[in-house]
Amino acid sequence: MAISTEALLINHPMNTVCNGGGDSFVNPDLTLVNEVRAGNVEAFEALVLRYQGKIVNYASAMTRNSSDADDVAQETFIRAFRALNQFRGDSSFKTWLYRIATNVARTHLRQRVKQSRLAGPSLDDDTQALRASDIPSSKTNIEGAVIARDAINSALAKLSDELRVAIILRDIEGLDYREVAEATNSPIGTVMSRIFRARRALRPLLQPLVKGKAASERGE
Amino acid sequence: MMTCEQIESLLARAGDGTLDKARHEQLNKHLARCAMCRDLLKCQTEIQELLSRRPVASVPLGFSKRVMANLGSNPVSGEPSWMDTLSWRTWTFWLTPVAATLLVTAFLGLGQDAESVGAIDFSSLVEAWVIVPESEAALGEVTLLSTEDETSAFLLDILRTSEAAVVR
Repeated sequence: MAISTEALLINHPMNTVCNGGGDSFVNPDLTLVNEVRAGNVEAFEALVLRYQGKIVNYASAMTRNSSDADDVAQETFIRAFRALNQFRGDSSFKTWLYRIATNVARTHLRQRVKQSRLAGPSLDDDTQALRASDIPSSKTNIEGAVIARDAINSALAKLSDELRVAIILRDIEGLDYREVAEATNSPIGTVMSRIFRARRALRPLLQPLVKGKAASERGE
Repeated sequence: MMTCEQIESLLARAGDGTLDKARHEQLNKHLARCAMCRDLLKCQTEIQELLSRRPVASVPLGFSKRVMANLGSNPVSGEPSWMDTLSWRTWTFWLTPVAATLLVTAFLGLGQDAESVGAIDFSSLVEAWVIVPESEAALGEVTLLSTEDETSAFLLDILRTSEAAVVR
């Protein structure tokens, strides 16, 4: 059902959030959404600036490739803009945006799989397991950070799609279980089960990173 | 006392510190006597901590400007834009029944034509071609009767003359 014009107004009760202490405040995301709907396209840039870090990071974890991540993140915001009149406010703008990003990333990955099948085996396939010697020992090494991120992304790529999406949204993006359930359109119990299984599957793949982190904390 | 299968549903939240106090006490009672679940909890905690500290990907320079530039002429409005009419889904939805109707009609129509029209007899067509000149000066209507046996040279001779000729 389409949202009424009155509900789009800033002072509508739907746009007001109450905290436990009885104080209320206006949801800043919905304020900007209202402005964009009213014709102020520039207000959409404020939403982009607010969420670009999260969506780019999410796309990076989903696609393992910075160029693809940029494309996925761009496409996410463009689709969100075009579908803004369909946003009903049933969920938060953040989880709605993540849902779009998930769909865009999945489409992108499917196309990439199709292209790689047509192209044949690639010499760049990194199917080797991560080794402890792959990780630089220096704590402040930027290169080490990139390697660690790439190692985590590679491990995540080995999970099934539903496990990967759930674990990235929860442990990397920091969404709570309810938000993950909204973003993936799944029951909360299913989300918890997926996250449990994903962490269990990742353990052997990320053991060198876990050991390396433990060693660095001990000062080794 | 909870079983290991039942405890699994609590381990994910216990691993990231979001399990409520009451359920944590239930979990602790089970963990006190189950090494396997203690190891599973350790796994949950380790991986959650590692992933939460994954280095953040940086936003490319000019990202928001490129997004705004690529929004194009698609203003947000409550009414569908003309671009929506180009949606392949819309076209598929409306044209599928039309295409189906046309196919059925064509099938029925061809079936009727195939039954009513017999094979074309070319020899009879040649026989029916008659060249009849109305005057010496003008060819007028030319009637030529010919059979399959006539050669092209003979036909050319007839065409070169202006007088009426009937050839069988």
